[in-house]
Formats: sequence, structure tokens, C-alpha cells
Amino acid sequence: MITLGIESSCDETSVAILRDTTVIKNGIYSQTEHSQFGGVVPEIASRAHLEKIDHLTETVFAETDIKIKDIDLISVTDSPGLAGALLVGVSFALGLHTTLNKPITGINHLEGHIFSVLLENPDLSFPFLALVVSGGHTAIYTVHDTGKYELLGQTVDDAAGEAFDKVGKMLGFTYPAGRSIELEASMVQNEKSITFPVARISSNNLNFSFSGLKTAVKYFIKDKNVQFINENRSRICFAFQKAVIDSLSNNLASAVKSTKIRRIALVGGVACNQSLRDALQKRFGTDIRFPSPQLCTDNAAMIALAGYNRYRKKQLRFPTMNPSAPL
Amino acid sequence: MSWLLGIDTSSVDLGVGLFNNTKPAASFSRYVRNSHAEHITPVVKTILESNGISPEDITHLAVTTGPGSFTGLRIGIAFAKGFCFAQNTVICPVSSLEILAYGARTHRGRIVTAIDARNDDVFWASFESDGCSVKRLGNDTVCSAEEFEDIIKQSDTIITDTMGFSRSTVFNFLDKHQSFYPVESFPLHRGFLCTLHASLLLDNKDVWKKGNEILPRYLRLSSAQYKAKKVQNA
Repeated sequence: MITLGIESSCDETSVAILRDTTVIKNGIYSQTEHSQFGGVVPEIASRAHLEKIDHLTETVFAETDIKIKDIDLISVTDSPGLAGALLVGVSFALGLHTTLNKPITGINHLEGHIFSVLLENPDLSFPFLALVVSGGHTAIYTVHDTGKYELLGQTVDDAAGEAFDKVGKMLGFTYPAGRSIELEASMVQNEKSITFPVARISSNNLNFSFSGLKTAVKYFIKDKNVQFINENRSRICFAFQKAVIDSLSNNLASAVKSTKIRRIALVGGVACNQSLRDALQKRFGTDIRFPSPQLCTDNAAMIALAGYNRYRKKQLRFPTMNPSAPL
Repeated sequence: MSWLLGIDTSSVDLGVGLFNNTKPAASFSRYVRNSHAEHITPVVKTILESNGISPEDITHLAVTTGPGSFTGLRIGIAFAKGFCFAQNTVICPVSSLEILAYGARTHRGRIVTAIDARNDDVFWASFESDGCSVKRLGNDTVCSAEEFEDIIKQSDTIITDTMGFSRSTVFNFLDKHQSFYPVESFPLHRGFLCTLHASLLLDNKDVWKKGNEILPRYLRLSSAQYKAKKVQNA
């Protein structure tokens, strides 16, 4: 069975082809238009998606022996994300669906991220805990089965990736700043002279908060001169990154304790962060699985796999336009 | 035999038209405001089914490429790109200002059509009508509301569209003009007119493009780029 995946929820245009659960092609175009604005501009993202989507689809098919008429299912991200950006992928998918007369399903972007880990770890069995960490989301779910997700906790303000980008901006890095902060932080071994608070919202739930941490960094550098910041940039990055990692790691440990589920998946763009991977690996051992970095960031292969699983479970749903729909 | 499907999502209406060569077969127009993407698939399917044809029978597609609602344009164009992808069906881009002119073609003489572009700007183009066909006199352009007051001085008929923008004021000065028609004042089936315009061009190879060559004609930058440019200039 051939599944075509389409993803355009933020600043990555992606088209993927899956044969059953095997990735045949996963074409990703990351938009570079946003760096000068310090963040993703929705209108620019939407324009770039439309300029790219059919060229990318052509390229993806040209590199395989599969023809567009061979596909059996279209799987497209329809929520959550930037409305204008989602609409490009959804409308393109609807056009394909109309002429090809093949089934179509809308996929929740977070559901896609959860499935990204199963692309390379098919042996990971239900139920498992999924920590989704990206520029737009930070949440822990219990994944009982395809289509059955239980939210255990989520961020009450900024997403973890968003905090990376905003702190990066304060420290003079360009958007996206996650990779730059990680590199800068790796220049120091273990920094104790600067520390930032690790937020704990409540002992009753597993929610996160990263806005206070961002403010703590802001006030820390506010009255410092340029020379001090230049000399201590690595230490600040390390302390900030450590606070984020501790917060994620602590809540994950509480989730394991309360659900008694030991299998964990770390997914989403921030899962690219090697220090986070190392810290969680150290704490949770072989129970934790990660997708490889190219499958952590937004991609259509994970959307296609989620669609394929929904198809097998007879859970297809026509794409709807509800950009803020929860999982 | 050519079957031609036309799609217009440039305004608050969803318009779809179907022509058999130059003969109209079906037309659909409905106020959908912000839900074009939800309605476009069932509407197209129903129109094709009720005419006993399948999507593969469509040989040509017409789509409105602007100017108009940015998101609206992208929905219609993305759908058209997807619809045409499998069979390399050719696409004719149609101007929303030309559609307005076609809607008013029974008015002889010079017609100026205009759309509120927000920020006190106007998208406009001018046409000459002999009562049944329309000839374009210049490209679609954007100008300030002030400049637009001069532009209409040499026209016989003015058609304006506020694109559902309820606080639109750029056309207020036209109230006293005797041959001024806001689109709300006459029936306008954009899907039909879009298809009609393209059907008249079926023999003109130059206007028919591949799907990947079709992009919206926004006629203006995104507001972030616009502001950045303004700061740069200042």
C-alpha cells in the first residue's frame, strides 16, 4: 500500500511517499525566508509553501519508480498550525484527492510527531509515553493506541523550542536559535556560577512553563555590558539549556511514576538537541527512543505513517479546517 | 472535445463553473466567507457528477489568480495545482479584475474595475466593452485611494469590490458618481465568468500553463516585508 504524506503546518514544506511502513521518499524544504524577521511570518510561510508544494511533489515522484496514480491514500496535516500555511497543503491534497479518487485523511500534527518515532522503532509497542517538544508545542501524552491519546501535561505559556528561539534572539543568535544555543552551551562542561530556575507548575499535574525562564535570562543580561555577555555567552546558554532539560526530564520522570509506563518516546524539533537526548538517555536508559534528527523536525513521512495507521484502524477523517484543534 | 472547469476563491464567494468548449454547462456561486477549503471538494464533485463526467474528462482548468484575498487565492490555486497534477491538465490564470469587467460587459464604453486593497490602497484595471465582449486596456495595478480619484475621471462605468471588508472607505467618494456599481448591487457569478473568460481563450496556446507555473498575483508584499521596507527607506 502506497501512502502520500503532505505537511505544511509551519515553515517546512514536506511531501513523502511510504510503502506500507517503509519510507520511500521524504522530501523536505525548510523555508529560509524568515531569519531576517526573527521568527516565522505566517504570510511569508504561506506564500513559500504554495511556491514549493507542486515542485517538491514532482521531485519526490521523479526520484522513485512510483507514479502518482499508484498511491492508495493521501494523508495531510490539517491541524494545529498556521491557518494560511495549513490551507496550502490541505487544498493541494484535496485537489489530488478529487482527480485521483483515492481516500484522504486529515492528521493532527502532534499525532504525526508521535508516529515519527515508530518509523525507525517499529518494535516500540503501545502503550508508551510521548514527550512532544517543538517550537510550537511542549506536551506529554500517554499513547494507548492509534487514535487514542491522553494528555498528561502541556506548557501553560511558551513552548520549549520557542524559549530557545527567544533566548537566542536576546543573545544575538539568528532564528532558529536552537542549534546555536546547543553549540554555544557545549563549550562549557558543567557550569554552576550561573543558574536559572526550573519551573514546576503544580504537583497535581505535569504542566510546563518556560516563560519565566525566558524572563529570568532577560533580567540576567539586562544590566550586563556587551563584554560580560560575550565572555559568558556559553555559560548563559548552558544554564538556560540545563533548566529546560531539567524541567522536561523531571516531568517525564513524574509521568513514568504516575502511569507506571516505562516506554518513552522523545519527539519534535527540540528532540534534535543532543544534550537533551543524552540527559534523558542517562536517566531513562534503554526505555527511551528517539527518531533520528531529520525525522524530529517537521516532515511528511510521519504524517503518512499516522495516516497509514488510521487507515488500518478504519479511522480516516476528512480534513477539517480547525488550526487550533488539540490532539 | 474540451471540458473546462473554472474555480474562483478570490472573494467571500466560492465560484465554480463548467463549460463544454465554449458552451456553459454549470455554474455555482455561494457566499462562504472563510470556508472555501471546506466546500470546494464537494462542490466540484457534485458539479462533475451532475453533468455525468469524471475529473479525468477535464482537459482545461481556469483559476482566479488575483488580486484578492491572499489566503483565498492560495486555496483555489493550491486546489487547482493538486487537481491538475496527475494528468498535467493545463491551467489558465484569470484576473479577478477582469472577472468584474466581464460581469459588467453590457455597459458599453470604458469600464474601470477596482478592489479595496486595504491600507488605503486600491487594485484596479481598465477595460473597453462593446456590450458583449471586453478588451483590456492596461495591466492590473495597485494605487493609493487618492490617485484612484483621478483614474476614474475618464471612465464610463466603475465597478468596485470591497471583498467583504465592512469598514472599507476607499470607495466612499464614489457615492455621487452616477455610473458607479458596487458588486453587491448586481448578480456576479465569478466561477462562471472565470470559466467564460478562459473558454474564449481555448485556442490561444500562450495563456495555458502547466500547474507549477501558476502562482497568485498578490500585487503587494506581505505586511511584514512591507513594514521592513518602510523602516529601511526611512
